[in-house]
Amino acid sequence: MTDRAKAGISPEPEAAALPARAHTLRQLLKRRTFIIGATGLILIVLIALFAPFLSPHDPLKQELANSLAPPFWAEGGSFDHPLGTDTLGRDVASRLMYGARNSLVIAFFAVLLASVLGLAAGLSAGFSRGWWDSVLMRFGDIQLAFPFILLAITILGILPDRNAVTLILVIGIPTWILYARVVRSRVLVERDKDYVLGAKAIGASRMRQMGRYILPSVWTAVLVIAMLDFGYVILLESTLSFLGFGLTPPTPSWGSILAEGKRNLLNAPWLAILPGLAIMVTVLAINLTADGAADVLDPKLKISVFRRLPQRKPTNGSLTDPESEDAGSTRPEPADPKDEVEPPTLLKVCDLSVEFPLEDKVVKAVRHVSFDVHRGRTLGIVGESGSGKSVSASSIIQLIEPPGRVTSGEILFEGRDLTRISNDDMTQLRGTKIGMIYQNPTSSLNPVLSIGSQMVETIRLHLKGSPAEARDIASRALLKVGIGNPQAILSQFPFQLSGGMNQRVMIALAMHTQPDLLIADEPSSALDVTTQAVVLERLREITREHQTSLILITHDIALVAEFADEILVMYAGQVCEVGPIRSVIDEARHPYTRALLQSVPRAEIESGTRLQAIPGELPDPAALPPGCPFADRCVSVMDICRQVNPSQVRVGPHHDVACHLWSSNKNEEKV
Amino acid sequence: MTAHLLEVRDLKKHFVSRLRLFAGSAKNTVRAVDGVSFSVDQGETLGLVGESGSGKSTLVKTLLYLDVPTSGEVYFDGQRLTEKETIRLRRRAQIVFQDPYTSLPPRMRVGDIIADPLLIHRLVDRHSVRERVNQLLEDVGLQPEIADQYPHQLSGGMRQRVGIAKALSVQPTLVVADEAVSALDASVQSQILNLFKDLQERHDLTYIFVSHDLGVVKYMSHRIAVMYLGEIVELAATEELYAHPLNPYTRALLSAIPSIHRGGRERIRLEGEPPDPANPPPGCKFHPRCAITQKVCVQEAPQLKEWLPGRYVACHFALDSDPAARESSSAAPGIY
Repeated sequence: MTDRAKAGISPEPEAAALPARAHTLRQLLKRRTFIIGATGLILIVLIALFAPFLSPHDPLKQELANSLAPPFWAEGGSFDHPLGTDTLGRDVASRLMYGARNSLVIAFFAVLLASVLGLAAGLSAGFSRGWWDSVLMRFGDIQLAFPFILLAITILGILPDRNAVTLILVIGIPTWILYARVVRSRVLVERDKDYVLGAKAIGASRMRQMGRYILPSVWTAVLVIAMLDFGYVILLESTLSFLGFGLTPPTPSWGSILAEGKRNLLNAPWLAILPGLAIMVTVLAINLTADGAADVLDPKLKISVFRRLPQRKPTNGSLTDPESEDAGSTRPEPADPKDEVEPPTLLKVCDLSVEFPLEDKVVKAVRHVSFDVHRGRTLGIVGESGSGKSVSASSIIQLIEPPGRVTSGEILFEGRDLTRISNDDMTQLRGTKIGMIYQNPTSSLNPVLSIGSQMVETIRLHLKGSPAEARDIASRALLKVGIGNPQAILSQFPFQLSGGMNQRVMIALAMHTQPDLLIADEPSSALDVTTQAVVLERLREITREHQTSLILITHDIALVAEFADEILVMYAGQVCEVGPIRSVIDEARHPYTRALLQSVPRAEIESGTRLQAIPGELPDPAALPPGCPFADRCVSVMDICRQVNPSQVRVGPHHDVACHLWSSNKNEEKV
Repeated sequence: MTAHLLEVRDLKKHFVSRLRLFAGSAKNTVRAVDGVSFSVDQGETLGLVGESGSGKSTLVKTLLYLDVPTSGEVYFDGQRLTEKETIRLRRRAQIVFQDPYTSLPPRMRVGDIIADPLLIHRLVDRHSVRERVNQLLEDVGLQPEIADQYPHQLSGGMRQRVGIAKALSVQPTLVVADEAVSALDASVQSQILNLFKDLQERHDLTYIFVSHDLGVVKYMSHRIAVMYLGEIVELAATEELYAHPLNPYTRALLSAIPSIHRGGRERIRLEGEPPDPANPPPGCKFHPRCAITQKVCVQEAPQLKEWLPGRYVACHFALDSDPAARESSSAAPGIY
């Protein structure tokens, strides 16, 4: 498995492979458990390996005159037999060293045998499914139901002579099932992925699909179990020897020394304690090594190691953040009083920045973002993945996933700064004044509770009342989102309903308290186009009815064009353009907004025309350029764009754009 | 026989699942693809559009024999395909998948991924593999250095380019793109769509372009087939389909697309939920949600037939449809 030979298309496969392996090794060496375990294990292996040179005596040589000599530290002990002798006067130190040899060799080959058998069985069972899978797995079940040690004793008991090979076979073969089960479950996951279907599509044979495509994804799991199993097998071998079913005497093994020690526990306690210690230390070393390696080799078992940074402490006084180093941090100028009258502002986000500190880098997900949400209006936030649109919204309700944190700015909701209020106040606000709906409605609902019990529970959290009253409220809320038969829906479970129906339930849940603000994060992206239309129209009706402000976050600019009053276009964590919807759509000023409008294929575009594709890729959020993040992909890029991050300038009524193209024009106007 | 590159006749794919372990006969049959016929000519792009559960993905996987059809016939270059000799098909027809994160083997280098089809079909000798891989990478707009990287080191757009290079490595005639751009960001999506168009011109490729996105399908396709619950309900040239949809479902689908243009466009609201594919309604499967349902729709399933030259529709009232719906579709010709 280790020599995963490449097809030889890379001229220097080894050289190219080195960085990846070196990286794994570096990661391993960062773990203290791994270092301690591996050092111990290497020592033990070395001792076993060099036993003939290290041991002071022949382990089988008897010296009856000197039987049960104590170790050197006890009274009467000598350095001739540093760990004493046993009943037949054999040197304990030598027997332990040779015993390590036998134990380790038997364990190693038993594990190797088991893992190879298990890997083959698991791979073929998981890949082919059908009768072969059933036969193998049922056989495994039967075997697991039978006490393994009893089986081993029975087999070993009838054998006249027990050498290392018989022990390896007896211990190794039955443990295949441990490996086979895990490998099979991994294969079941992998075989449904498109790359395996892709291998079939290019004409790869079944063997090739298994060996070349699936095997590399599952074999690390085997390695991890093998290491854990190794310790278990050493114990097992000792147990068998202890019970007298190990290697035929006088061949030493830890278990047989231990068994002998048991008989002389009172007059020669070291005889039992020393092999016990040896077994314990070895198994501990193996387990530590396996534990450390599992994190690195098998990322599926890896637990997030993100550093958790303390959240920003509430401070009084100065609102501006001294950290703001970008030129883009200047706030947009205050609105011109002559502009058309807007409804009062419900939510004001000023200079918001959010960072995610990772192991070796900092991702600036949101950088100096400011926007307003007006009462009863809908603000659409448009951006691609990684543009910071969702993070901006989650920071409003203080639900940024750790290790993310707000590094600057304030979020004023009805005059209160949400970045500084207590958790309890925030929880209160979240349920009653600010609602949230997410992209995937089916996973937002609890799968094991009926719609009714979930709604009743949520409603009773906020409105005191009997379950019957809450149920009444729930069914009225469902009627409002266009569900004609609320009683039937209330008794059903989320998995029985379609995505569109579940999303309507979520809207009903979010809207029953008549919140002032509803945040909808990609509410229709998981829905079909015909369902999307219905759900969004319901959402529009119900928010209008209650004068609820809506933040509609989506990647689809057309959706915002149809459903929002104002639009905020984000790119790489920054605001590109913000303004009234028609103004921005009809007279887009930012090259990114324009490109977005032109590059998406639309049903209304004449066929035969060619899309104006935006070249290049999204910038790495952990290594953003000093200038405008869109500069590298922009058609009208200038020198200044690569050096200075543009600040927002006003280009129309309430219409701001962050682009040097317009800041220069504006300067001219001022002159 | 006519010179269609691909011809599909009455293709069916049913999935049978037993409901309960001990219920014996209680079987649940999902007719994912239920009697689909169409043909594709050399050099054209057939768009396949439908909502989730319409069976479009199952259809293309079945016609490529990645899944064995329940019944029906597939002819490639006039020759009938059988399960036994799919290897011939594998060299002529390839597929590009939706999710660039699961469609490439995670532990293989890009170069190996692209080289594997070449080695399987022994298209080049080992010494010139590297050269051919570089050529393919260049063809899809990638640097040759990428050959030494693993998929997880690449962005979604680059991975999708690798997926396309892998599909092109055997020099296929037909490429099926199964939602090939749906997982990509807007700014990357357009690059990949243009790449598909360029490659079609350069290599005289035939495409079957599957998508739920009516804009994408319109941009890419010469003809479009609309699917609903495992059946094709309308098939027509792209311009005609968008200008004058004849099936009420197509009309509803087109009216549901959000538009960036200002306008009080009337939207056809489809009430009710898409039916359970395991238990579809009798007669026309669309009748419970249709605006112009008549008695006959409940009793008899309409067949897909050619109502006007080149326009196939499965609807009893394809030509004398609801005048209001017709009016709305002709009132704003620029929008559809």
